[in-house]
Parts: sequence; C-alpha cells; structure tokens
Amino acid sequence: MSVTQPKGALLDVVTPEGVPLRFEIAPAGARAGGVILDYLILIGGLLCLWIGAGLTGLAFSSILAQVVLVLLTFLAVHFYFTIFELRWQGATPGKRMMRTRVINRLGGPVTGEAILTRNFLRIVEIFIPVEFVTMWSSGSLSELPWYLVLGALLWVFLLTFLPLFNRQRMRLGDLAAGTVVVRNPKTALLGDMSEEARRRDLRARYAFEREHLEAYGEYELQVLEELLRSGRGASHAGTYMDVADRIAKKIRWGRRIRDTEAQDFLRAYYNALREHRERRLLFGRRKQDKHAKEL
Amino acid sequence: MNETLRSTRFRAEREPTWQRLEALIASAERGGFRRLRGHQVAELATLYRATVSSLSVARAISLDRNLLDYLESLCQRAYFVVYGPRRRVREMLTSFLLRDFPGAVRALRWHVALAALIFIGGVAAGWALVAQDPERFHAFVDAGLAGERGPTADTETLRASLYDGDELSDGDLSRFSAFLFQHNARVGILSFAVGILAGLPVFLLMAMNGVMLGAFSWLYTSRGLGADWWGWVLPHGITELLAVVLCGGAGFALAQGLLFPGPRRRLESLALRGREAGTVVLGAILMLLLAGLIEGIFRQRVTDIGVRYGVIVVTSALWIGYFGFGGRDRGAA
Repeated sequence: MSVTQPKGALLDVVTPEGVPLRFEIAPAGARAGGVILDYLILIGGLLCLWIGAGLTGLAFSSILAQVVLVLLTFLAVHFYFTIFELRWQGATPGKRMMRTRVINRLGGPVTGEAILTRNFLRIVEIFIPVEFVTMWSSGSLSELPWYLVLGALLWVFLLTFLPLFNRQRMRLGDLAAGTVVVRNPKTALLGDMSEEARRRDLRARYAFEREHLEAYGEYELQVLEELLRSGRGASHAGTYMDVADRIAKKIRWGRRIRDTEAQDFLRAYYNALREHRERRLLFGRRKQDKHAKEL
Repeated sequence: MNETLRSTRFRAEREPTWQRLEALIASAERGGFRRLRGHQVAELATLYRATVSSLSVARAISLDRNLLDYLESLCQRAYFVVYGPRRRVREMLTSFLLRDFPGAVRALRWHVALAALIFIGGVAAGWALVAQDPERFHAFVDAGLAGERGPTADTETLRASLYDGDELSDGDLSRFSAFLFQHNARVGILSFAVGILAGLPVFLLMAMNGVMLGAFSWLYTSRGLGADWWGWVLPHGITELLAVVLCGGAGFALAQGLLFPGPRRRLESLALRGREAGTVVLGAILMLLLAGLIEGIFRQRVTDIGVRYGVIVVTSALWIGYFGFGGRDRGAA
C-alpha cells in the first residue's frame, strides 16, 4: 500500500505571495481528450450554423447572411479557443470536461496576449499536417525524392506530437506563450482524524512511549491515515488486523492485539504518532520514513 | 500533554475562511469571474491571501495529509480565479486599440523592418526576373489569381481589369471582400505561427508575396499602366500589405526569441517574445478586415485615379500617425 501519487509530472509555481504551489501537469490523454471534444463542438456548431442557413434558404437568398456566415466561420475557427480561455479563466468546454486549465508557466497571471499567442499557433499544428495529407493524397509528393518525404513526415509528426516529447506536455503554442496546461484539482476536506473526545478515550487505553513512536516516519503516518480514511466496513477488518500486527511487532508492543480492537489500536497509534511528529516538526525536525534518520 | 493538537486547533480556527473561499470560487468556476460582485471580488482577494498563508502554516505544523492536499487544491483553484485572464474581451479590445497594439508594433519595429525589407526585396526580384523573361510570370503568380492578366494579355484587357468592376454586383463584392479577408487573415496568422520554425518559412512567405506583387507591377508598368496599377492596388494595399508585413515581423520576433535568447533562458525568452507578437497579430487581423472593406466596397466603385491616390495618402498618413504616436504616454513624450 502506498500514498496515492499524482500520475502526471509536477510543476512548482511560486505565487506572487511567495508560496509555492505544486500543480499536476495535465497528462497527454486529458489534453488529447480536451482538444478532440473542443473540435467536435466547434465543427458540430459550424455544421449546425451552415445547415441551418441552408435549410432556411438564407445562405442562398441573402448576401448579408453569406457575409456573416463567412465571418462567423473565420471567427469560430481561429478564435474559439481564445474567447473561451479568456472568459473562463483558462478553460474551454473541452478542457472543462477534462478538468484541465491553462496557467502561466513563469508565474503570475495568464495575460490576454499569452492566450492569443498560444492559440494563433494552432494553425501550425493543424493546417500543416492537413496540408501534408492533402499533398500526399493528391500524389504531388510522389515526385519528390523519398528522403524528403520521409523528412517531412517526421517533421509533421514531431510538431503534432510535441507534447509527448517533453515532461510538461507543452505544445508549440505553450512554448511560444509561456503557458502550461494543468489539472484542475478538487480535494474534499474530510473530518479531522484526531477529533477530541475519541482521542482522549484512546489515549487512556493505549499509552505509547517515545521509543514506540520513533519507529515510523511521516510517510508511514500518511499511509496509515489513508488506510483509516479509506473504509470502516468489515472488508477492512482483515487489513486492519494485518497492519496492527505488523506495527505491534515493529514497535515491540508487549500485548497481543485482539481482532476487535485492531482499528482502535491503529487510530490510537495514528494519533500518538501524529502528535509526536508534529511536535518534532515544530522544532524543524522531520523524519521522512522508517528508514530515514530524523533530520 | 492533554492539550488539543496544535494542528487540530489551527484547523478549527481557519476552517470557516476556507469554506467561504471555496463557496466563492465555486460560483466563479460556474459563471466566470464576472458573476462576482464588487465586494465579493475584494473578499475573494482577502480570503485567497488568508488561505495561501494557511497553506504555508499547515506545511509547517500539520501532518494531516488530507488537510494539506485540500489546502493545496483550494489554493490552486483560487489561483486560477485570481490570476486567470481576467479582463473582459471588450475592455481588452479598447485598451488594445488605444495602447497595446501600437506599443507592441513599436516594440517590434526592427523585426517589422526586416519583414518589410524582405518583402520589398521580393518585389524587386519579382520585377527583375519577370522583366528578363516574361514567361516566368506564370511561375510566380497562381493561375487562378492571375485570371486573364498575364504577359500575353493585350493592354486593353489589362486596363479594363483596373477600371471595370469585373462585372460584379454589389452583393458579389461584399461576399468577395469577406472571403478575401478570411483568406488574408489566415495567411497572416500562418506567417506569424511559422516563426516558431526558426523563421525560415516567414522569410519565404514574405519574399513570395513580394515576388508576386513585383511580377504584376512589371507587367502593368511595361504597358504604360504603372500609375493606374498602383492607384488600383494601393488604396487597400497600404493597409493589407502593412498588416502582412506586421505578421511577418511578429513571426521573426518568435524566431528571435527561440534562436537568440540573449541573457534569458531560451524558453523564457521565447515566451516573452511570443506574447508581444500575439498582440501584433491580432491588430494585423483587424487591419486586414479594414483592408477587405476598402477592397471589396471602395475599389470597384471609385475609378477616379485622383480619388484613389487620395485614399493612398490618407491611409498612409493614418498608419504612420497611429503607429508612430498612438498610445504613447504623454508625460514621457
């Protein structure tokens, strides 16, 4: 068992208040999902617009409607992402669904200019591959020597899949605008594990000495927290017993732990260990895990 | 040993603040920053600072993993709202037109000058090459664009192409100008974007546009229609060509950020250049919209060469004034 680790790479951004925040870079899958959703919405919207204009006959009868159609299409194709990212604090409908957001890689606010630049560059990522495929299918590439075609293919591949080749999953637009797409976190605040009444009661039943508490570090404390938070059902009884046994052995706890008290024992040990480690923390002393020396 | 855990007390004291912040953020996440009222914005800022400081304290005193994760995620969500792009699109456009755009163009003046130089070089080259061998005209100018115009066309056809309205109705004209606009704007965005490929494609795009103009110019001038040609192309051309050159300059700025980062780290320098350049491209797109209007609506109706030259002078003066002086701080000037 281990503490759940974030899947993506991490990015530390120091806020203007001087506090480092650790963001999780949105993984490639979420990026791809977002962009596919966005293009589906965009293309779907445009199709509706054009079909609507065709069915009502406006597209054929009214010059004004035709001009508006051309301009709206232009606006949608080149400014869909920009307008949403400006209005929704760095999210588009696709990003919202995938729970990702654009932030400034260099810290500070994401400016309008950065949003403009990162989205203008989409033309390189979309149109150049499309152009390449068109040339391919029209056969005009067959006149070129094979190594040029292969080179072009590699180049197009590299541009389109650039996010896969860097740890921060940046595409060309992110490079040019100094932005990065991160996961939108949402952690709920659960109850405090060391609630008062329960704590006093447990403390009376289990008195841990200092040497009992030196056996483990912060990592084990948080694994224990996760275990205790994860379930209260009967299915956990076995796990509780296992862990309680292991801890009792490691700290040389004299008494045998009965099945029924496993959870209480673990809670009591969690409380005591947390109290101990937090007190040491006040003196600037940390102990990462059971193997580490207290620093 | 009987007092409450310090971290538990800390949590009990601060929790209402966090919950209030979470509620405000949730409403901003649903409806955007604009949903918040004035006093809520002020409150959000205060709560955000308080919570960020809670996070610092919690890191120093608490080992409750869920609490730390919660605070970190709450601060991140607040950070998105507080430091997200906040200005409204409309506000951005106003300050953009009055200050940011001309300022950004001035900041990139050397890049724009380089793009202009390459463009003019392209014109000269196109002129010289076609003058040597008129057959090259077709190599430089796309057949669809050239239409009837070419080295084999007689002078009357060429003259007619400058003065007759192409037999287009008004409706066709506005449709045509809308189409031209979106086509040119795409070329403009592309000229900027390919700057990220180290600038060479920008060079080619600028030169190719120039060569095309040079080829046409030689063709008309060789038939004694030089003055009429410039009177036809420049009323909208001043605005349009300037916009294309601005996009090229923006592309070169990207390339410079990438290739010659100076004292900064490469990615950082690219990002700083890139942001400046994005502003210029947005402005250039608006200029192309204007050029499209002039081209589609004005050009075919006004055939008097005096008026045409008048428009050239007026648009040139406007742009010189706008980019030279627009949005300069009066105190500093």
